[in-house]
Amino acid sequence: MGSLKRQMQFVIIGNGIAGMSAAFAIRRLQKEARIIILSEDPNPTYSPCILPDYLSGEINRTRVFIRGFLDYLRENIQLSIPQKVVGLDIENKNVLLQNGHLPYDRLIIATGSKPMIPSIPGLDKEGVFTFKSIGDVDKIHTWKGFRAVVVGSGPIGVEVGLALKNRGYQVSLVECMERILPQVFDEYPSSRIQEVLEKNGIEVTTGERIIEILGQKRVEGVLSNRGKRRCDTVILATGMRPERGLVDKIIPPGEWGGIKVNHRMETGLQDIYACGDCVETASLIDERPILSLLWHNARRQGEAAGINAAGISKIYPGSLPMTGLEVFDLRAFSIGYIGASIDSNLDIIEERRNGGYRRAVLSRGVIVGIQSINWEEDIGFFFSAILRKEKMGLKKAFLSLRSPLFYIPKPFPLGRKFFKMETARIDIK
Amino acid sequence: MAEEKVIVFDPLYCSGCMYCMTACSTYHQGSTSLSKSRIHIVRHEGHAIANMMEEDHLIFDLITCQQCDQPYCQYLCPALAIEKDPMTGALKVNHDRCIGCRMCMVGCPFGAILYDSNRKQVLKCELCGGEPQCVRFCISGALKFLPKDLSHLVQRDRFGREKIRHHFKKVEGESR
Repeated sequence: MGSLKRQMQFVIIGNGIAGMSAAFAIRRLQKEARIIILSEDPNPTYSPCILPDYLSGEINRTRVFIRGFLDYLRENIQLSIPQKVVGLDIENKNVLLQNGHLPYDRLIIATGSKPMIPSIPGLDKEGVFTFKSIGDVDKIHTWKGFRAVVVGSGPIGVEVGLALKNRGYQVSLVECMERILPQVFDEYPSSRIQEVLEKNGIEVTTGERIIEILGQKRVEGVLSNRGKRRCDTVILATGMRPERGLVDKIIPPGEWGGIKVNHRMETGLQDIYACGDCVETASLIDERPILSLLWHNARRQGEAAGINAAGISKIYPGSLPMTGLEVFDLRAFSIGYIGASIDSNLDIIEERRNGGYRRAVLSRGVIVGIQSINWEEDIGFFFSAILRKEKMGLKKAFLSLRSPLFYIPKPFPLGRKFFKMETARIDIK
Repeated sequence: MAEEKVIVFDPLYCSGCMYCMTACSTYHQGSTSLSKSRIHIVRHEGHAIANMMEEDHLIFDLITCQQCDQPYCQYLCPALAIEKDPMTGALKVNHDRCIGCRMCMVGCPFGAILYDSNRKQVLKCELCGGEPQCVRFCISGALKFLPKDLSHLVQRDRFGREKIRHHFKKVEGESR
């Protein structure tokens, strides 16, 4: 027997991890509501974090997808793809589509991010790729090239460079700042990563700015401030920016160009929530607004937005930057802020052991970041210390947090203690 | 759904025999290798012992997955490879999906997730499908497999232990 009460209609724009988490979170709380996901991408949800593995050929295409069409069907979530949203009508609560409109009771915007494309001439030539969606990777898969130039050396640039190297390309990594991974690692860890890249045959140049892409129809080379460089493939990995075209005129942009939301993922407009890469939230560490553009933050934001949209108050604690990289035999992790992004009261503690390296970043005695190289076993303790905003003295920082798991075990003393414990034994089972 | 249970450790009874670690690695890995065990009994040394009042009680400690209710490993996994088993409530690694990026290791506040360099994937305690071998082989009774609502009582006091004893008596009575 159908109820007379009209069911709520939730509309979600974007089918990335944030939109998908929001949809599944709503479904957990409201069994009857109508949930509609609109997306331009014709694929079900996939994980962009594992696209480099697909590019290098380590995993096949089907493993990139984390949800199939059947999962949506089972949860009774309506997936309308490909569907382009052209605008919003906030007064009448409508989403404007290319042919018609869709009314909503609650709207969740999860449009994600778009690659930032530098303004240099020659970007329309064949062989210039961005690296964001699975469509981009499919294009690179069908492209035949030998020499690639990767512009930008963020985590995406480095991972794409490694994947192309695995595919047999000759790879050059070009960075315009003075070190690679400038927003993720400080000088020493960054130089260690650069060393390993160069040792394994990836050419790395820093302080080089691309001025023009050369060639007739196909790419034949790039021109930079250091001269000409021959290549047939150019990958633009110059960073991501929030995609906020839909609400550009309605909601003023935040400090970093994202949609500003509060801890409940509300945009300030009635019944409109936003989550994922397109939003700008408070940082978990010191409440300053940051763009997160990372998988785990988008997932938590999506869940929080879904739960709040369904009518239950849920606080999203804040975003935390966190990056992991595997570069040949070197593993590098960075959690929280790096030293270069903190301007006052900065303390750095470094520790080296057996080729491993760890660097804790402290601001006013509170741990705000940790970077590690080849020493990730007990970094989880630092992760939870950052979450707790733990205050620690300089010398004690490492001692107090080191996991007991990695002490060298000593032979067990067969003394007084042992027998005392034997007598205290009581069989419970 | 069955009642969710977790492995609980009572340091008062632990003798440091490492039978649990041996059993775990033998059961899952097929070889007796303590470094590949998903449960670790560690011995406090140096500074940790110096601050203790009753050192006899807290020499050993347990490092294993706590089957958190809001697990960071699950949030951090970019391949959605960590899933909750609907039967036992254990967090399991789906080895068809795991890509070995180690983000879950970094996010675990307990350091309970291991990396298997042969398979290039991570390993974690999955409660052996509802019958943990470490608990089965624990000779001193330090490891217990308890429902989640009783798990906090173990280290609290005498009365907590009494309550748990009642629980086991009740379970035995039911099975008979």
